[in-house]
Amino acid sequence: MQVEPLKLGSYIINNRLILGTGGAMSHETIAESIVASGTELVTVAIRRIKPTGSGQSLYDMLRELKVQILPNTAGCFTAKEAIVTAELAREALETNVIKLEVIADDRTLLPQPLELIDAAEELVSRGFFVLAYTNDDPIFGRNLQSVGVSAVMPLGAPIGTGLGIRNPHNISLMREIVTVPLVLDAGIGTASDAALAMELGCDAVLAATSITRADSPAVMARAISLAIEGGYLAHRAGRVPKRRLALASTPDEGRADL
Amino acid sequence: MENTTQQFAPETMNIWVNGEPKLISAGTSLDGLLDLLKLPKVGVAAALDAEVVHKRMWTETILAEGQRVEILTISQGG
Repeated sequence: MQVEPLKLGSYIINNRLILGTGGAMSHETIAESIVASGTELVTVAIRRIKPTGSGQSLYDMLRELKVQILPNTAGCFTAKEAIVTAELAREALETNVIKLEVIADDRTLLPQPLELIDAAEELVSRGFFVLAYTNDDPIFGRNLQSVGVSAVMPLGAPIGTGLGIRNPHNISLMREIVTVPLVLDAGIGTASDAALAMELGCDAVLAATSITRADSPAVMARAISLAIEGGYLAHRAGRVPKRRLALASTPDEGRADL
Repeated sequence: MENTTQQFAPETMNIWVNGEPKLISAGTSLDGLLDLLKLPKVGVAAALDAEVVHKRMWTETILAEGQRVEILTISQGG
């Protein structure tokens, strides 16, 4: 069994890891992580331009590596800010795909659902493919889907915490309720968290901090990419039911009478 | 009698670029501003007083005194 391509808006990816570039020590670290993981899609923020001097810009580097660039609206607190940021991203990158983030406060960085859904609806009406970062609320995931988002991206835990998937049951329920692609976004700490996300039925995983701030980012990028593939296959392989008591895997038949 | 603003026919004007004050020649276009600042035009977007200005409009968008220009590009972010 092979990993099938995944369509996210107008993007198609063969590798189910989306690499968030936030927190990386350098552009070189990002490049090494891209190569090591085989990711085909990386997220970026939209910020004021600074003269790059003699160094290569992030834009030029990502283009050279031939990865697809997914802009986000990180740092936006209102629908209005997020909409303008998405328009700026579309202008800068000539893409209609936007990872929509509208957060409630700096302390938790948790999504602000009321502003988020307004922004999602408006951006969809403006022709965007919206990939919406959201809380792990299955019903709200359905609400987002009903306003036309192209993917629902629930958090496993707050951004940057590395706490893993705090409520696997909710992610599992979201998988049952949401029919558009489901991407686990935020909270990944290490490879096993990413494997779990995929085993729960997520279509992809976005990992930033867990990779960019690992001691060896490229090694962690590879580890998480492999875990995602493992989880993808495991989800489709049909796991055994959990049992309370043992079930011998070795048959009794033919056992010596000792 | 000419009023004050006409008396000092403005050859320069003050605008804000990414939050910093900037003195530029009157009549400078948005496109001209990017040239002046030696900024790339690919992978870049601009807003004027919080409104996005499409790239095809940069040349014909003449900046005015006191306007707030934001010039943005991609940066690291999750």
